[in-house]
Amino acid sequence: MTAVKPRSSRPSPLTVWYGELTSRGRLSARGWLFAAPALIWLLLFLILPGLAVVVVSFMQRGQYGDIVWQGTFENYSRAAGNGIFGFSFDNLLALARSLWTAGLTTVLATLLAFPLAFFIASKPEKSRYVWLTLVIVPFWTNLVIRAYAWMLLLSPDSPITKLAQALGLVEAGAALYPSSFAIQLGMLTTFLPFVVLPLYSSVERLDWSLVEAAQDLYASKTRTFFQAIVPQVLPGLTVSVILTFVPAMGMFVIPDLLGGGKFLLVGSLIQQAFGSSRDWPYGAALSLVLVLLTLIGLRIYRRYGKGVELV
Amino acid sequence: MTATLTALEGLKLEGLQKRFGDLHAVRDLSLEIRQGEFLTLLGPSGCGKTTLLRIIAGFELADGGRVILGGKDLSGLPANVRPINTVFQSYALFPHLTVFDNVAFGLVSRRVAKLEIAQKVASALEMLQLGAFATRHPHHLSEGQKHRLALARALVTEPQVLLLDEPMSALDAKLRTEVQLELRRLQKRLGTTFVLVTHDQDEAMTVSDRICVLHGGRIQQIGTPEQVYARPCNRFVAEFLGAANLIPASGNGREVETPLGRLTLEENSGWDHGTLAVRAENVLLCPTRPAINAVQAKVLERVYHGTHLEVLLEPLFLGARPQLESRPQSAETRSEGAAGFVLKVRTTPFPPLEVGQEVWAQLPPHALVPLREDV
Repeated sequence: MTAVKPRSSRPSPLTVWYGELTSRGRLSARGWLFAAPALIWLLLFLILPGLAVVVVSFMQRGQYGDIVWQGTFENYSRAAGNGIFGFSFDNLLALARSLWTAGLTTVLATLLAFPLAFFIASKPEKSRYVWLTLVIVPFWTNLVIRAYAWMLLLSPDSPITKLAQALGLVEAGAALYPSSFAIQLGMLTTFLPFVVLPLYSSVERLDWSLVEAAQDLYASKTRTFFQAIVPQVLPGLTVSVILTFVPAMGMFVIPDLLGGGKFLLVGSLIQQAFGSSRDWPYGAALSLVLVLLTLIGLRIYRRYGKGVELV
Repeated sequence: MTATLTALEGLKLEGLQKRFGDLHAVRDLSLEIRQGEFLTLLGPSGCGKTTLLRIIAGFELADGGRVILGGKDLSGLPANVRPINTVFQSYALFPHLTVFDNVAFGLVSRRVAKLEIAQKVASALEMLQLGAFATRHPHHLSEGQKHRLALARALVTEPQVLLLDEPMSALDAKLRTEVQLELRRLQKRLGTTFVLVTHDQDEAMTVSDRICVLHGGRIQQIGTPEQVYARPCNRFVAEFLGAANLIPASGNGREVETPLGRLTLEENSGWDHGTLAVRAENVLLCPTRPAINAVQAKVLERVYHGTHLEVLLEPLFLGARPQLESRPQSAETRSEGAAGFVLKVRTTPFPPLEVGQEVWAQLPPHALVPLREDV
């Protein structure tokens, strides 16, 4: 009983007793009522569609792209690379490339975001909002438009490409896109704000007395960073990693546009399966494989980011 | 020979200056702290005491002046190479490290051998009765334990000076007294120089060898607790430590004119117009007219405190009633007396006094402290 005072008479319906909504055995009808909108939302838009994907992934494709309700493991076998013309590494390569691209994007974005977050947090409160606004300005434009903008910037005649040509990074007359470099650049710029914002919220609340304590106890700059700063920003960093790595694993717009379809990632495979191939069962199987791999990736992060309980 | 002498000098601050924009936090401050001394920097918030501590620790660089430890100039050195450790107000314990690892932190930074770390940490934990908590994390400790952990962490590296930034403000009153005595014993046992920052005068009195009263970035007075309390040098010190009556006075001999009549001092005041301080507990109440420095007064208010009685007296015979400024101190609920002057007295609860009763009070000459007029 966690009520503040003894419950001698029935309280008015508006009185909420301390702990009433959360204490065990007291998750009453009223508690469910408050939780209902969120629960219904989760049920309708996450759990039911998720289950549908699982079910469909074990079905077969009909002749006209419909779903034939007959169980099979064939989709998973195809996802692993066993096609009509025998085994191929294409899918596994796409998976590996996705992991690599998403991982690299996360790492690079984090490395860029750290100094930026500290820079913004060090500004006076008023100008912080200006800087934060600048960070989110890219969101004012659609992702596809931003990708086309990069195509222009990386085209053979753009100043950036000219510079790269002059430096001998690409052949004369060649463009910087389509290339894996262009994909990486596009991914990095797309996801940088997702890393900066959560990281900034952690950096802003940083307890600098811990930094001083580390310095006071003879710690070098490196030791101070890893012992006094990193543990404090780990919660924000975890959010950053999830917000970047997970969507980056399934990203297809940027790779398709900036990779010119030459550098196939899992996201593009799934998009093709659901789209032009009209092969929903195969797309569902690929999606589930991707979800599984993403969870494994986060699991690995959790193991090395000790004490973070978000995953 | 000179090297040994300078080593014994301890910590020396020379002409320190620090400004934050318009705020002059530390003004040309010089101070010598002896090796093995427990010195307290006492003052209200904003007096510059914390800034001074941070300059000594190396967290702030002074705009001018030098910090010299054992003859060596530390002024330009960063915090992580100064043999000075700090106990922070919030303790600043590393939340992700266990009690053991927190204490080991400084030793690990200094790349001490693992075996030696284990031994030193164990003995530090033992010394501060934390042996049983080595594997816990700081957030599982009580405030008192956190305080001891912060001490253990700062002392295990055997610093030459330990700085304490109001480390006892988070403890409840009863525990605080206990911890203060413990801290003093610890300091005497180790012989390390301790510099404590506090705004709590009781704490300063309890633990210190010497108290340095700060105000407006300047040292007001420095001395033993007895000196600072019994012989405050100026109005600020008299007001900040304990309850004092401040009596405006004029005349430059041993006899001075005051709103309470003519008073005799123990020695010349050194000024011809100034203020006298007299502690509330030094005012004597007498049944008959005392021979010297007698004041007849009426009881305006009495507050019973158990151990003592606090009485506000309104003087009856005010002589020529000179139009002098008067500022009776720390009287929370007092109304101005007829002459605008009220004498605060702290006395034994016996004999009982009633409001409106007329009494004789004596201000003994030795208890009248002429103040320097510099604030």
